[in-house]
Amino acid sequence: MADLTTNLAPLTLKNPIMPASGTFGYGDDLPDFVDISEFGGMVTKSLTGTPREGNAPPRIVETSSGMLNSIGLANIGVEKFIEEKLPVVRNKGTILIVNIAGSKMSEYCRVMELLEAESGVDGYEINVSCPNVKEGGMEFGVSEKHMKMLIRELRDITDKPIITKLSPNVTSIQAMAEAAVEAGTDILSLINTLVGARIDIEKQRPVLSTIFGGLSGPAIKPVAVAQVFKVYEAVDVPIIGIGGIANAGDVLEYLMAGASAVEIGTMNYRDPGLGPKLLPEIASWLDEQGFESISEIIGIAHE
Amino acid sequence: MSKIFLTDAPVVSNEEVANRIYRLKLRAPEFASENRPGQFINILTNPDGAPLWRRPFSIARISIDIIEIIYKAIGIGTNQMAGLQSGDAANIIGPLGNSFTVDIGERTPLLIGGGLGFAPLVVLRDYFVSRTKRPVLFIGALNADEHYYTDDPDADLNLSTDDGSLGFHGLVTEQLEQYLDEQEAGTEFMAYSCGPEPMMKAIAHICRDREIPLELSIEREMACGIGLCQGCSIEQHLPQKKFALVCKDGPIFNAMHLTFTD
Repeated sequence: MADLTTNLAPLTLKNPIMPASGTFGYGDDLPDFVDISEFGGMVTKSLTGTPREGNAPPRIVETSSGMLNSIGLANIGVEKFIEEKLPVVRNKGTILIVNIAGSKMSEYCRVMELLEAESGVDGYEINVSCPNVKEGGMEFGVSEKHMKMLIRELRDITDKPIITKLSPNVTSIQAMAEAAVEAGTDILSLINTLVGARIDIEKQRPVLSTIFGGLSGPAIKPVAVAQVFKVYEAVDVPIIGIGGIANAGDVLEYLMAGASAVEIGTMNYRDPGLGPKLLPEIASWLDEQGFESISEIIGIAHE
Repeated sequence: MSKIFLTDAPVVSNEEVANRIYRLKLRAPEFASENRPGQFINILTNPDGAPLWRRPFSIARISIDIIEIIYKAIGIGTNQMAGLQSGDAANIIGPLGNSFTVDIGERTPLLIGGGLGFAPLVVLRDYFVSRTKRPVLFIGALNADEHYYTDDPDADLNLSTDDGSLGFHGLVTEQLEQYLDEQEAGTEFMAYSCGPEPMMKAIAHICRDREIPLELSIEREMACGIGLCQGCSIEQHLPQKKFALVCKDGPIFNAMHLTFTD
């Protein structure tokens, strides 16, 4: 059977499927029918320096083939994570990626410093692209200068892999990718959600309390595949593809566009056990096509 | 937390019991044995496509290995559900959420539902009846066509309609107040309610004035139903936790904890 191991240097994943940040909690409180060890890695929801309640309701709404969210980085804060969650999730039998967010550079740094003192974290995903908080680090995701400053600071704190999660809400995602890599990013993940809104026609007002939210789900997959395709040609670091993955064919699309791994997000809400269910189909597709490993198809669409 | 299952539950029956209101019975033995009154299930109405989200429904009744939900076909998901037939299966996750307080000593249970909102109270009614308590039920609806629970020999059933076409002519809250005013002083109640939020707010005021504890079953749009998306938040009075998740911290809440009942 084809080898599903994927090289996400400096990380090696036993398979290319992870849950996307914010769709799997901290990995400790999942339904009994989900086995986190079957995933290639676990990505936590964004952690900030202090606990956050998130935005006022309503903060989710369904859309055509997708959804909008404006959760606003609701999380328990890094200290409680270290105390209560990390001891549980560090031993789940898969790679643990902790997602970090903040309002200011100093908050990102503090979260990482506290985590650096702990064992069990295999890498960090840096959320520079949350569209849902007023002071949400979004400037780090849309300004090359600010992104470089942030990633350089974080690079000085850790020797572990840094994954920078890119926003699609920019003029040139290649330019942002190049800036992130120049500052010391090991791996890029993309895309975060696209800014969107819905209006309640009965109330004649925006549905979300924040007016705007982040669009995710199958509706954004072609946008995300295009961005992965572009970034693959712009930089030489591994890419994690994110956006609307719902089946094995979607995973293969991302791999062929240039992603070495993927994160599944919104579709976890239909079935949080979806990710590992796609692996046998991916393996048999590779077998049927005569490929011996996933690495043979990464970026194949560019040839 | 009770165990959560994901399963393809065979459809036993799916009948229209009132105007566009359906009773769906599913064979789900593991759900039936784990369920506590007030919990819900999340149904994937279309495994092949839209809508994206599952649809949450309170479990209305359990008999041995069959769970029952009551829903109104009003949108894309519920209209798909209306097409389910015996022989089909429904992909469901559950049982989900917390449950009603059922250990109420000598208090008399008051179950107050508005329209479809009586659904989660049926299973509570069954619980009390099976323990030889006689609950007092109040069910209000727009008109007779919207009533689906019209007969109950083991409970004191009070029906009302806005147009007077069945039972008391007026609001369920008016009928409830009349009833409470007629009770002997010192009678102790425990109240439970589910329905439109303005109705639940009015009931919360009635209960607060009479010092009757009240639990509400709350509905919110949910992307996941299991606490992952953090979307179904509701504002509460607890300073250390301003927003609760209806799917996990609820769907059952002490009425006094929620800000909308103020």
